[in-house]
Amino acid sequence: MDGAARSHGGWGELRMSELSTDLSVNYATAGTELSPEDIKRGHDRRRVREQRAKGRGLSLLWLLIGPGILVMLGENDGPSMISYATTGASYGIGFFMPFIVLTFAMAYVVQEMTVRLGAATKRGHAELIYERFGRFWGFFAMGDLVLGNLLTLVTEFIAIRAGLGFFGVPGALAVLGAFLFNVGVALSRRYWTWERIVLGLAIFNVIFVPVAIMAHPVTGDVVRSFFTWGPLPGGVTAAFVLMVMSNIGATVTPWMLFFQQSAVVDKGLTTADIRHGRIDTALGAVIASIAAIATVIATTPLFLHHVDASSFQGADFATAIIPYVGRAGATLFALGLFEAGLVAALTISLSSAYAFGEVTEGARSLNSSLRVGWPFYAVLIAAAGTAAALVLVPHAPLVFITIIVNVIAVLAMPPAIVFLLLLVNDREIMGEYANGRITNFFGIGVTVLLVLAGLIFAVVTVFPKLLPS
Amino acid sequence: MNCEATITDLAKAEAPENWVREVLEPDQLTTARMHFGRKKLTKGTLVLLWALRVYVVFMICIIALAVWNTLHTAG
Repeated sequence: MDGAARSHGGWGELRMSELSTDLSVNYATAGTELSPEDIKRGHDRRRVREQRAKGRGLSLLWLLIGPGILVMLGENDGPSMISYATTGASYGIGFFMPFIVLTFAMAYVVQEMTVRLGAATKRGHAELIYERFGRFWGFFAMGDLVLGNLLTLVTEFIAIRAGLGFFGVPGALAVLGAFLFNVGVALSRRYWTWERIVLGLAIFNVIFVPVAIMAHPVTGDVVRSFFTWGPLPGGVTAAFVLMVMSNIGATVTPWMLFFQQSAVVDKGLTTADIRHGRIDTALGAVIASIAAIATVIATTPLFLHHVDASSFQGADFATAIIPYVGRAGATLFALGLFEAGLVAALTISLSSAYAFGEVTEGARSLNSSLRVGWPFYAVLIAAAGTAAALVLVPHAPLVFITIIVNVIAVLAMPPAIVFLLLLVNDREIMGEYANGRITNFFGIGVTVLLVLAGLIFAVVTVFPKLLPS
Repeated sequence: MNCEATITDLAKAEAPENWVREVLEPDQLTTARMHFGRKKLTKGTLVLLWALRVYVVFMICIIALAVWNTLHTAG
């Protein structure tokens, strides 16, 4: 019974009747005033309880999916899709196909831990870091998040502008429209509503699949690449190292940790829902990897026809693939770029607001009323608004930001994952849901891999002649 | 006296939002949050956290160098 009061962190449970399962009211909180946020969350949880009691598996899954799919598809954002497009245009079908699957497997390992953390502790990621490690280390974690989120949000609005620019929509209109949409969805003041709208948008990430089909890939090449991890045209070069970093940065970023854990808490998931949270996260990883691989395939004709895509930005890819996938395929590609930027703008600005609310011990939920939650909504709007405004500033260093954002994401991940591992191994707060040896093995493995990727990038940058160009 | 019937009457007499307290766990209620308190970090953990902080600062310098090279070459 997921709503039952239980022993955790000192709260006692007093069951009035062992025969009735409807009356396990926690008398420790009987006098506690309920907020509008509690009532809204209660409505959501009552539906979950009802479906669970009736044994309706699919209905229960429908109710519980959300944070995992959104974080994975949100990470297939503007720069990520451009990174995958560049990969296809530079390397074709080969090494990077199974590599992308590996990166999403890494993402699953990391994100699954945030599900357990949120469900077991009922706390957001920023809140836990501040509480358990203190303001000093919390400040560092928040600093990485705020800087990373601002840069990433700028690139999302760049992608929105580029995607809609393909259809002749003026940049200012595209950016303003996306910003207002973000504000409107957030001000529904209902987590469930926000989640379902964004899920509906996010699923369009698979729009790259028909584009891939239109590119007429050789099926044998696609299948073979997953077994042989090849070919790798040009071998291991400095550009290859940069592409590897870019692909990793396209899949694992700090905001994902903060977003999913806080969304799990906002949604009201409990330890009874961890299994569904894992399914949700796995589903997200699978769908996102399919979309990513499809994007690589979609731009492979550029590689095969020796088109130099090294200086391509956003909609340039849509224009360049017209001869190979037709106007319809290019249209779908541009729409996919717009969708990628929009969904990410929605999720990333929310992650900033969650973190702010948690560290200031204020409202931290999309179920908050305006009266109580206005700082939370103000931060969400300010995060998106600042990024949108920067995109419209003439001569803003947008190329600079686009180049570094994925790389910064890779570099900021090791400290973020270490905080995550420390928290998820903390038996005082996690109890029986703390990491086991196997999960720690994979978690530490992902951290080591990310640190190595960063160090290799550093070596190649400082000593460019070490590898062939 | 039927104990369960008395319990049912008591429940119904309480606030109408009692169902919210039934479906939410205690630490999900916004006004009943507990604080976990500070965790004592071991020396090894502190060394690791500082090492990663130095790593991030070092890598930011590397990125700046990389971008400078990229833009300088392109220009």
